[in-house]
Amino acid sequence: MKYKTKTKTSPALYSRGQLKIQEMAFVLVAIVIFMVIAGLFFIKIQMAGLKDEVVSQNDDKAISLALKIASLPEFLWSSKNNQCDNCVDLDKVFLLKSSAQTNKIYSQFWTKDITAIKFEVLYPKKEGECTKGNYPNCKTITLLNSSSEYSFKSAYVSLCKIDLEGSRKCELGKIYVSAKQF
Amino acid sequence: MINKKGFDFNFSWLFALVIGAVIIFLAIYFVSTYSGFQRKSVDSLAGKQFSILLYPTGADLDNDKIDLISFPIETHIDLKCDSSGNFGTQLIQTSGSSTIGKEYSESGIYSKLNDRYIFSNNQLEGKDFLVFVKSLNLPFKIADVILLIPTNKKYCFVSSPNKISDEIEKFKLQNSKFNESFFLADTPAECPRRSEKVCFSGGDCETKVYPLTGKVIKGDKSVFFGDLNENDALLYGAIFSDLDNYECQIKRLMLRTSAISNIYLEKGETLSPPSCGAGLTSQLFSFVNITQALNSSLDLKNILSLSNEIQNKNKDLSCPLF
Repeated sequence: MKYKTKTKTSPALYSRGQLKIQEMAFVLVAIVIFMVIAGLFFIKIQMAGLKDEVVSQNDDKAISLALKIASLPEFLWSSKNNQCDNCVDLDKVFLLKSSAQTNKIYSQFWTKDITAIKFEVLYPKKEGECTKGNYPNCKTITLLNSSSEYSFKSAYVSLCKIDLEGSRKCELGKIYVSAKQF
Repeated sequence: MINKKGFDFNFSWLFALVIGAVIIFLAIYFVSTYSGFQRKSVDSLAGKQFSILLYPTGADLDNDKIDLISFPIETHIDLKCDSSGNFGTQLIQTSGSSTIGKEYSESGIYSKLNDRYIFSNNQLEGKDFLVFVKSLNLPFKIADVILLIPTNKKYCFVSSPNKISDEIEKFKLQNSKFNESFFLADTPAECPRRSEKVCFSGGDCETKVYPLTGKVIKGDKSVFFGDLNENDALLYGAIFSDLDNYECQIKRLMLRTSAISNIYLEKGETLSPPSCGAGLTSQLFSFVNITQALNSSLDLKNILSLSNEIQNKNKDLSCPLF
């Protein structure tokens, strides 16, 4: 019995079947590349949203931390007869900065995570850093300043003190806090 | 070299075995080192986050409200108190349970905090922890006392005064886990099994509270907490703490009291209008000194009495200092 041997009669390099397989492979590769690009695009959009969410959550946490620091007994307006939320006793803050004795005691108090604490009077408008010479007619009291790199977060507070008539007088202010975790 | 079964054990085989063994050893070594490092880093981070959660003032933990802090896995919390320095330090270390190696690694880095006062046992274990905060005023606000209790521990208060039982009832309504951990009873026999009994009028209990003398006794140790009606923060602190931790935290709290009193003293002397705080100087000066010199909780008697004196005098002033 003789077998007919199939010989290449066509001058083409590949058979029709091989071309079909190649076509299919190219289509598959193109689909995979398309899927990868689409996936990357989707992940990028998702990550951008996630990043915004993380930034927003960090900001909320930072503002909450700033308010917590403002509520420390060392800053808090403390009067049982005259309750005041988010009120800071400006005299106590100034003493923490200006009194050498208090300053020395509190030098070990602040954790290393908090790099700066600053109070600022927003209204009425005042100028300059508070010193023994110009207090209380000054704008800012910088309590802590332990780093050259700052990322300040702030929160609104009332800055209060007893006026000459003996009654409480509050001004609109802000607490600025810089911490390593920001 | 060909053995009788025709197995050719040549140099390639020997080389492959030696190199294979080295690669496997190195892989195991690096995986175990890396996992140990990861465990230490995760534990340290958890400790740091836990300490941030325990920030006493502000929105996270409110006064007179029960909060629940849950860890994703069973966690061991190691709390240490150091009363040295101007304010002393609260040290917190957490370690999560693991099925690989030791159950708790105890290798996490301690978080050091100067402004937090945690009253609890020195070693705690569990997944869920109840936290409640009580404000300490002597007579101005000094700090927030943080009480930390694992939910797997049960407490039974026997014959507690109305002030305490009303508060426990209020907390029971606030949190179901608190409801499962705290019980009120008239006699120790009514308490659930395996609960730590706290007796307020004597009896066979692990903790005995004597409200009239202001003392808490555990075993052969006793501490002083003062007057229940004026400040219950220290009473709860003594009930839920190891007594050596209680003594250390009291010392730290008094160092803070001394520092804050000094601010008020200077405020009265230098910044306030002359009429404000007039007449408080000598008492505040004594207060700064006796709070700083506290040796044990028994010294609180004099401190609380002077605190009341300052409060009454301040109240009568036309321009109070605080």
